[in-house]
Amino acid sequence: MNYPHADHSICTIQNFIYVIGTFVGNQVYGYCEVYDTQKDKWKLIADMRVPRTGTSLCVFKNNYIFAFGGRVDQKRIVDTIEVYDISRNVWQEIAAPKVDKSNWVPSYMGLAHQITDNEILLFGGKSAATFHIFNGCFVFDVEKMEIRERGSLVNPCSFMNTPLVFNHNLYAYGNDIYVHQYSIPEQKWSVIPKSSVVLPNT
Amino acid sequence: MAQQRGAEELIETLKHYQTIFIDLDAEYEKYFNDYEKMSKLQRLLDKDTNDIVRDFTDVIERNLRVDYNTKSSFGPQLPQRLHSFQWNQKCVQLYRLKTGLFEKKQVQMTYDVPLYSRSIATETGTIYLTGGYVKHMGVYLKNCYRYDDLFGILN
Repeated sequence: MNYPHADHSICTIQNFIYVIGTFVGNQVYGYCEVYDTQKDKWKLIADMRVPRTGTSLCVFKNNYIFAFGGRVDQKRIVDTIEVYDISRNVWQEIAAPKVDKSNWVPSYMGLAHQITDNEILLFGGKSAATFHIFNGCFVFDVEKMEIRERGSLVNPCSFMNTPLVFNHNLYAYGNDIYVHQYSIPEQKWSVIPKSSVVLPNT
Repeated sequence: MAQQRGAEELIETLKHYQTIFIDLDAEYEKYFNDYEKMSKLQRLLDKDTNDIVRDFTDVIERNLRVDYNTKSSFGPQLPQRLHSFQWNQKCVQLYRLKTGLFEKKQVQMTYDVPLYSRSIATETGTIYLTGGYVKHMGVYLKNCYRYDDLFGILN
């Protein structure tokens, strides 16, 4: 990478990995980079307009990356939403009144994933309201430009690993004792305890 | 082989829809019982048409969504697994989605998995670990490591 990255956020589109933001030497920076895994090449891309780390990233329609929330320093979690246009290499902030964020509690180290043509699920992390890990779950409707509550995680949790989809279910490896599972058609959360970790003799 | 897998996926999808229909049927049964009494039926007749349509749409949307994006993150030939590297340790935890089994594996790398590092699996299933902070050296990393599943090496 061109810059050191820590406490950053990460997402992938096809054979590219996007690394967003960094926290170095007690300071947050908006540096962003993309890695071409086939060519083994890193390239700097536009910085975020509002530098922050621990944002919830979501690839949308294979050409956009949404960055929700995150922290701007060690004491402030913000409700900033930015979207990166890959083809234009531009970040744009989506601010009120363009978007209704009144029902949203932003977070640090939460996750996001596109679940329908127009909807992005946002969940978990450290709440901006309480500064505690929470079970909040929200849906950002990109067409209506509003965020609504959508149930809640079974257990409050923050995440440092990106989620994945398999057989209509979204799975996220929690920082707690669970893998969190969301049935996309049924819109229900459940958990799988990690307690059954198998240690192979290798 | 591919055809068989496609057929199996179709069966899974149809089973899933069947479950939705059964649940939906139970939901309507519940409402039907609610309206058995004439007084309740009268109340329904008095209800604003727009409210009825909105409630009905809401029930349908909640129970019979067809617009969801269920494309799996990895292709069918690839290992379907969640992973998590443990900070300040030399190990990775894997959760295999098809079998439901957890595994904890040792990882070979120069130092422990750096604090505040992040990792991701691309759609080919390859796992990469990026950046982080090596506390005992006081160094923030520019490094990116590819995880070699077979030998358990981050290099």
